[in-house]
Amino acid sequence: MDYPDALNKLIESFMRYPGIGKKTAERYAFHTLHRFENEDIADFIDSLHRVKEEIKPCEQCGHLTDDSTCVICKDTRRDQTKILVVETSRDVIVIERSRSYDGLYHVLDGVIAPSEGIGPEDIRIKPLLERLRNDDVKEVILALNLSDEGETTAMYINRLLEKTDLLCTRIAYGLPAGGNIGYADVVTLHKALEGRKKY
Amino acid sequence: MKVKSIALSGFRRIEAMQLDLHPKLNIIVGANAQGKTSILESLHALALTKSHKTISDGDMIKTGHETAEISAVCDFDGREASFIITLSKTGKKVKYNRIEMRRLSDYIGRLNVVMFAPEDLELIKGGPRERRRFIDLAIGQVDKPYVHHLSRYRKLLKERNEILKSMQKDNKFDAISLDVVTDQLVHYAAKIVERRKAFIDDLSKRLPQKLSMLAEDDPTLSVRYAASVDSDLETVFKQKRTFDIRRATTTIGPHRDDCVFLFDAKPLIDTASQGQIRTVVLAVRLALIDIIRDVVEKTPIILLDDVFSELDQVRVKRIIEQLYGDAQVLLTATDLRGIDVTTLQEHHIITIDDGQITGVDKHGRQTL
Ligand SMILES: Nc1ncnc2c1ncn2[C@@H]1O[C@H](COP(=O)(O)OP(=O)(O)OP(=O)(O)O)[C@@H](O)[C@H]1O
Ligand SMILES: [Mg+2]
Ligand SMILES: [Zn+2]
Repeated sequence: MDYPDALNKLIESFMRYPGIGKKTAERYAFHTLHRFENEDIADFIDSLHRVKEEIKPCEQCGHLTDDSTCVICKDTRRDQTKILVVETSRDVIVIERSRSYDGLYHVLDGVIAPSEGIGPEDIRIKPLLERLRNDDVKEVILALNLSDEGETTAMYINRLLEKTDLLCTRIAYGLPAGGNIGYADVVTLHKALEGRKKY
Repeated sequence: MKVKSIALSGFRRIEAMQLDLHPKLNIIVGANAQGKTSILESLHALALTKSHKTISDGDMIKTGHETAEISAVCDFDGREASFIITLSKTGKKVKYNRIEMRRLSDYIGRLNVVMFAPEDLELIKGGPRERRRFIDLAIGQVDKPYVHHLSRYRKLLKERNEILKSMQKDNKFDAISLDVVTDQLVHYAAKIVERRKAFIDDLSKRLPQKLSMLAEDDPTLSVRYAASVDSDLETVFKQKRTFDIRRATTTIGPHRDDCVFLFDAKPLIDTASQGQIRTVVLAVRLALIDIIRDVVEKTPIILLDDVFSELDQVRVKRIIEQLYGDAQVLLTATDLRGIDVTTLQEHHIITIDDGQITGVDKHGRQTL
């Protein structure tokens, strides 16, 4: 048996989210029906509209913002000589929370994935090169995920910068905090050894 | 290592089956097409995540079923371990001690099996693909990083071919993309070729002694790796770059390599008789048992599919003698005629009919 139309529509809407199956969507829909006040609903609708209308990528770095440039790019106290390259806006947030970096960012919005037909033109590599024309920048730090595609993308950017006098570095990969060597997988150990440094 | 029990569901013609195994010898008896080979195949698939015969995993799933599941409880010198593999149309999942292993390289090699099957003749008579499959499965059993290198190589190969194709079509990928992927491909190719050569050398050294146990006056048996690139891989990939772009595919590398079995240093395919080829592939498997034993310091589970119907009694006896006191053996036969039960140690005779176990005869030491 089917639910009444409006309820069905709501369930279907929730099911558009990744990782939300029919059962969870039904729980959310019933929760909305029974527990939400009118203001809750109004708030919800309002924020859905606002993310779509107000949030866009920063014209410089690609990080999500509600202005033409993001707060990081606007902040002149930040080190303008470094650009840290990441895959997504979420990575920027995580690194910012760690308070371990004070330079600028560049969000690629993806990685090169030849088997899925995603080439260099499909991610924000050109805008990165544009930014690097600016003489202030001295170092590009690659902080891509330790995935096969992350590796390929890092190598690609490094290759592009080889002929410039920019310093191209990449963050080290290794054991997580509290990580036990005995439980580390082959790739992690390999990377940890590769990235070893002198005491 | 011993398999204490296995459970199958939706595998080949078997709807559901649960079977306890004898730690030494298990003889699976039944008429044709009842599911004997399927039981051995299931252990092969559980250990190595692949069938010994079909290329496509989906073929192992029972017609009309969504998934097939194989699980086993094993004994490693008193320590128990469980293995589960679930095959579905979209892929496979493996669990070791109930924990899902995301990388097959963390799973393969924990349970070792060596299969003797009629399909083994393909090792000589078949094409390079069959021989590479044999080599890769064999090394995978004793070398975890190899499994990882192989899977990286396969993915990069696919990517390189996509890039080469696109360079002719839409130019989505540029020369730098090609070089970056090629560099990584060459890195893994070198590791794979080096490991395969070492394996083939090791195998070759062991073959004459194994063959002499099976046949008196056969020529000297050896095997040689036949690489598609015989000099430095990086250089050759550079040389072949334009050629590969024109052909829109990767024309060299370990995916094009082969190995050649030789009698007195001449390819044996040209001269060997049917019977000789049969003993050669038996010798290869016997040598593989030793290679695995030397590395993991345990005897693999030995699966003998239909080997006895093909051979005379003398050879059968020699093989049984070869199979070491401590090995767990599963063998299939359509009837017990070819097998001299009185010469065997304790064993179970498992009868199978219509995909189901219809009886287990337990023969202890005392009854012999
Ligand atoms: N995916 C599948 N779904 C259902 N049945 C299958 C599937 N694959 C194979 N079969 C059936 O299983 C039977 C083969 O089983 P198996 O090879 O284990 O037999 P066997 O007992 O070893 O026979 P033989 O003595 O001839 O070697 C065949 O009848 C085949 O049609
Ligand atoms: Mg069979
Ligand atoms: Zn910005």
